[in-house]
Amino acid sequence: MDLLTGKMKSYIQIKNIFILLLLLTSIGVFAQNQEPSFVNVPPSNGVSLNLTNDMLQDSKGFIWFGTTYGLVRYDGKNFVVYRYNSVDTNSISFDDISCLFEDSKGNLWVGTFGGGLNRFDANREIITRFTNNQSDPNSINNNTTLSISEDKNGNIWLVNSSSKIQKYEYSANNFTTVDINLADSNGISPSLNTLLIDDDLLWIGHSKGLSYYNIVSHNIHHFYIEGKPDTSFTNSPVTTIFKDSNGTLWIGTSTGLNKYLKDENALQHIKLGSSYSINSILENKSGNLWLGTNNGLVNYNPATNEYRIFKAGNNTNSISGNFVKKVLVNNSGLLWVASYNFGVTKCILKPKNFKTLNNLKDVPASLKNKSITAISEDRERKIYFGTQDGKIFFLNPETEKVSALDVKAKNITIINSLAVNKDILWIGTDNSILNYDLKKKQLVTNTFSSEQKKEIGDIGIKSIRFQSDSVAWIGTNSHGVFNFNIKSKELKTYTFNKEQNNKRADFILDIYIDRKDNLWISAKAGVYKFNYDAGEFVPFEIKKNNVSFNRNNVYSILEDSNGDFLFGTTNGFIKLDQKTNSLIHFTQKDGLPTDVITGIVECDNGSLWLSTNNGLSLFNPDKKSFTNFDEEDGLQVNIFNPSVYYKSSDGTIYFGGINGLTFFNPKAINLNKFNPPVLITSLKVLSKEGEFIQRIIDGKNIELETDENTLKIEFISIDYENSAKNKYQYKLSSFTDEWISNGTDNSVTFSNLPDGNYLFQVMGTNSDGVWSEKSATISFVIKRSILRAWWFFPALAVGLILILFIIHLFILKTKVKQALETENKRRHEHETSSRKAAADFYDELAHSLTRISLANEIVDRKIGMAFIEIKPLINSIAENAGRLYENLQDYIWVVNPRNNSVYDLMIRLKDYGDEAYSNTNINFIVDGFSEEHKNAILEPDLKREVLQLIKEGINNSLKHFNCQRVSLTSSVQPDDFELKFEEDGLELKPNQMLVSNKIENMIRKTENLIILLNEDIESGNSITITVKGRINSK
Amino acid sequence: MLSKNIIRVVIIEDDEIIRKSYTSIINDSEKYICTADYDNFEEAIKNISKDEPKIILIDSVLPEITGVEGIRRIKSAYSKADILVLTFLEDDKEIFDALCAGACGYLTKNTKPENFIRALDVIVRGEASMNTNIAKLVLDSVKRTKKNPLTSKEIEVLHQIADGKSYSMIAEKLLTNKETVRSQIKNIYKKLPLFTKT
Repeated sequence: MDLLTGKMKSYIQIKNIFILLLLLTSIGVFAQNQEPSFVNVPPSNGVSLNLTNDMLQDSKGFIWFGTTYGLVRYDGKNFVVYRYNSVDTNSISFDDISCLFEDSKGNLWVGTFGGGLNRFDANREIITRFTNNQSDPNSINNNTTLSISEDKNGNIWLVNSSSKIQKYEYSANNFTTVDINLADSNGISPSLNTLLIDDDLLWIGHSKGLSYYNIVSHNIHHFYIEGKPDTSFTNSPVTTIFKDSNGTLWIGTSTGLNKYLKDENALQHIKLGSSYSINSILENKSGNLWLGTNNGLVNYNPATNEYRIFKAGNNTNSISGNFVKKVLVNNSGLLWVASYNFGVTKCILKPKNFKTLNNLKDVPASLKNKSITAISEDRERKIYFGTQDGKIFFLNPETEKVSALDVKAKNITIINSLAVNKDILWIGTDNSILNYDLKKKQLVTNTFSSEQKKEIGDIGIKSIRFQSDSVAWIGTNSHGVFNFNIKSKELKTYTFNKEQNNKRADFILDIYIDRKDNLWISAKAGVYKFNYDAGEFVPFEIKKNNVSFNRNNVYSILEDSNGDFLFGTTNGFIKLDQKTNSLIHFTQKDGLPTDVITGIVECDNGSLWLSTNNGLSLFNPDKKSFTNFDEEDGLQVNIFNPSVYYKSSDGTIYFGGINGLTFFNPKAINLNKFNPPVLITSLKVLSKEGEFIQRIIDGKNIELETDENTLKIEFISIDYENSAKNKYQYKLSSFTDEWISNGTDNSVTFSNLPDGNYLFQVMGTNSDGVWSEKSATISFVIKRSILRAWWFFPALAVGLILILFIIHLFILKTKVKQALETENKRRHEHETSSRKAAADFYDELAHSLTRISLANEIVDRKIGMAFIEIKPLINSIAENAGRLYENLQDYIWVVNPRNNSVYDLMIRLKDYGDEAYSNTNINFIVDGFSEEHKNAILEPDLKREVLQLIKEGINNSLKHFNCQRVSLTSSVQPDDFELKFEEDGLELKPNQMLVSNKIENMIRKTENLIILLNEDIESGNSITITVKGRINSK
Repeated sequence: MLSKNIIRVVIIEDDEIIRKSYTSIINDSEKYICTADYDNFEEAIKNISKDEPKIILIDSVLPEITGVEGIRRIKSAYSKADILVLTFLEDDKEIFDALCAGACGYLTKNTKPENFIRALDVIVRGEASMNTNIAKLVLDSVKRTKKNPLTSKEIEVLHQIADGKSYSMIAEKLLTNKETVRSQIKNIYKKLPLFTKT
């Protein structure tokens, strides 16, 4: 950052004032005692903020960037890009965004350069496009929108590149052009740039200056003065109009900043040293204005009329480019600066205030990034640092000047420890202990006797602490700890591995002397406390779960102002309450950035600063909460070396890291106090394909199917200072009633949730651990599984019983069927066998009868007329054999079950009649039956009786004279049938019966039939035999 | 030397009484003469061409060969005769198979002598009988065949018989007489081997 001007208040700035004054171009500048911190908004895949034309923070807290490459939403962690998609009508109409505006309904209006206007309902993700339609006067009349505002009635006003002002009414859902005449006396109208509605006044910034139009009275007022040059402040083209929190209007022009004086209805020009073309104006919480100009970022204090200019610099801690198109101050006070072509810079106006060697001036480059391994302070409050590569330098806190200290010793390796006793700097290295006189600037060689030098020579020194001016405790990396009396030169050695001869046990990590002068030693073998009475170290062990000083290195021991003891270990931070003798163990789960604590320092208010291998952490003993800090907060490095910490006499705390030094005045640390809103950004359901599918969150209860029970819910804490540090906790009613810490992870996945109603609540912190005041909630229901419906198991039981019953029936039916089949088969076989036997029998019988008949015929022919008296006998034999044969045929037909219906009977009779009448002139008519009569079943006896009776009737008719017509008619009723035989023949001889005795005998013998015999020549039919009988339906 | 008007008949029947009886009945008639009677098929097939019968009466059940096979072989060896099958009982399927093999009618063996000669007359006149079930079986065969040799009139006759209509009724419907109907039946029988397989 280039600081061009400033009214110096701090001693640092005073020192540089002369240099800065050279750069001053105007009076009225001001300075601050604290430099803002600039951080570029990190790039992300597919997101380009280089050409950002507009920015806003919506009512939910999302930051929106209108860029040449589309609309971008940012929540501090994730970017969502909205771009034009030719096949998706729910995409924005054009990528090149010109301006953004959020109306009172929460809709985002997105103007473009030439591609129309869009209304974006971000809640429902519905985009409505508005483009110019020449044939529609109620469409927007130009596709380039330059500025948008809203009146108190909720109407949207916009100005476009055709210099027309249009009004959009939601109720009509169309645009009307507002005719405002801004022409000068020469009839020349200005081109319009921007507008702002304040109450009933529509303020219009245009190429001639500023005008307003009363939308109620339609009055117009111009602030430009005709005839004046356009470089005068009243006539400069107005580019932006801003209303501050006091209601004051600020006018940005191509030549600078103007203030509207309401009482005088006039403009006042604000001098900023030089002419700045202003693109954007915003106000921060303290009432300062931030101006985006064509030549840098300007901070203007209206109360003091002081200003300050920020320009792009070579280092990263500056705005990215001097053409500042847009500035934005978000709800937490962060300043966002969009530099055209160079992207967006996030500016923390009150950074944490950590200092590093990189911040300081006059630090030799060779010292800036050293691994700091030891820290101490002399009586002049100079701070001495030892480095990994054997260098020593010191810092003058007042001047912040850093200088190297050349102790002129050879073979100095790692500086493990530094301690100042009076004016002597004790230096513990990896292979020696040195004494350097800071006054005389020379090494002291007579501290130890030659024997003692032999004893402690070549031993690595890890820690040096003075219990008094004359008593030093020296921790080594292999020989335990030495106690050295400077006055008496007495040297005692205390080791911890006598029995095991384990050098690891004698590796000393830290030495601490508490306020009661107790001596604590932290060795790799554990923690020891010195028993002065016994003159020996006594192991100090605590017992709690997995905490063990034997297993975990203790890098730091501290007695706080309450008398409680604190241990920084490789397995968290342990607090031992002396009063209650209770022990609290804090780890990463409790909010620490890591479990490896390398140093502990208490500050004056009782808070503890912990160095770790992942940044610093501020512990609030009352809330038992941690606030963590990392490089983005200004630390030089996140990894701090073990036991390298120091609190100086002025309260400054120093921590040495592997790549530099971080120090700070704890009172000057600015904590982020913003209560961030927390938002639930998505609810995704795991699909059967294994992908999480997003559901629309519209405030309604979300209904999920039974199998949609693996969910991922994403949320975000809207604090942009250092979003990676925002922490979260959640609870899911019906699942857990306690808040569950989610660390910095902004999503949570629930698998296989049972059915039921759920309320998910989440809270988030800002970057310094301040929780949101309200939780964000989302409710959803997973539909009840059919398995859990009250009726399911009863229904299942009934169903099972039914199935079992059906199976039982099936088995039963199968068995019955099998039995029937077996029986049928057996019967069939029996029938076949019987039929065959019968057929054989009938065949033989028929054969025999035929032979009898034919033999009789031969006999008859042979005897001729010789034995006339036996002729009747022979004829009788022939006749009986023939009748028997015929009866046999009928019998075989009757007993055949296939011939059991009225139809079969009629066919039989028809065929018989056809043959009988074939060589006659008798017209044989058969009528009244069809194949439907196959269902009219006749009992065999009945069938036989009818067959024989009608056949006899047919035979009888052949004997009659002049028989010309014989008819056989059948009819079938549901329960009975009727068969009528009629003939019209006459008796051959007088007094001969028409009906033969045989027929009469048959009628008499009949048991199953009702037979009506009618002889009536006059009626046309000489004989009518009507037969009725019962039938069975098939 | 036989008169040209005398119709030659051959009988193939293994039962001697029956065979001799038929021979006697035939020979006693004025119109027919039994030129040969055989008690076995092989003898008959060997001599059938020499016998030159107009009518062959063949037993439906011969000891060495089935009636169907016998008819087929006789028909192959000598196709000029009308073949009548002699059966004891009217088994429609057996009769149908015989008709399909080439027979043009059937007689039950106990047919009275006067009816027996009358049946021969019918054959000689070019007529034949067909009962309802035989008509149905023939119609089924007609439906299955791709090349139907029957005329529409013959098919109409078949349908009428299968529908249970008497010859008189069929004749009335077709505006003809019973003899013509029976002639068509004989024509059907002659064509039957052409489109059926037994």
